Amino acid sequence: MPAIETPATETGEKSALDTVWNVVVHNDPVNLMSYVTLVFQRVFGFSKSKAEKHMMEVHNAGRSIVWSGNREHAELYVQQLHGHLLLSTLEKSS
Amino acid sequence: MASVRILDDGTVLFEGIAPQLLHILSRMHEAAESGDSEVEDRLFPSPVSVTSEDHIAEDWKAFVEPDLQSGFLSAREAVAADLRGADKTKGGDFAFRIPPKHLDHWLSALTQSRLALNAIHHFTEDDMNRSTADLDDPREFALMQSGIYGSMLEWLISIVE
Repeated sequence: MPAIETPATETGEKSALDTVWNVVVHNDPVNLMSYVTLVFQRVFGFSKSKAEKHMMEVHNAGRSIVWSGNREHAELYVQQLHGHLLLSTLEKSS
Repeated sequence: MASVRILDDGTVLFEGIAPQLLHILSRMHEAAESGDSEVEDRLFPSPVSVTSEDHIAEDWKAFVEPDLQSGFLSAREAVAADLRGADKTKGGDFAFRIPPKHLDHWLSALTQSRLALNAIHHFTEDDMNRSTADLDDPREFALMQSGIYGSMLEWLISIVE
């Protein structure tokens, strides 16, 4: 009697669900620093100091990871950030 | 001379607005509605930065961009309505009101316009830190527009914070 194989789909689904996605905000020389800070406060509920920290990271390093989690939520956050005209992308966490 | 007051109900009242300034504000929508491909790319950027995730970008274009377009248009229309409601005063200047529920629309429309103007004219950091020269030059006029919109945006942000 042949051995029962573990269905490949199970492993695949678990892997997809386990993937962590980052929401990345990229530097934009036009958007005002005060505006970017305000958007971070509104979208993520950051305190002003945390929002400013991420804003300065975007300004100085060119990008900042502002949230990590599942893909569905990451997409919703990127949609909100695009709605506020910030340059942002979702990326698989390495 | 232009002045700003916040009324008891949160309405922002601009008074003493010169006709030229009102004209510049009334042109806020133009760059965002220019149809320029670089403007479209900036207002509707890809949600992913690696080509292996292009399928996400395709879905985004089909299902998310229409909502973004609609939101941006609503903001521009709300601003245009506030400016159409400007009253001419005895001295020839104008006054207009921004109702509290329109403040976010102003933040969006001003930002859309600045991003669109920059996408069209490719302003450098040096450009953004200098005075404008010949306003008959479209690029110089756009630089002045961007500066005025930026000042207004900064001021409105200080109100909503």
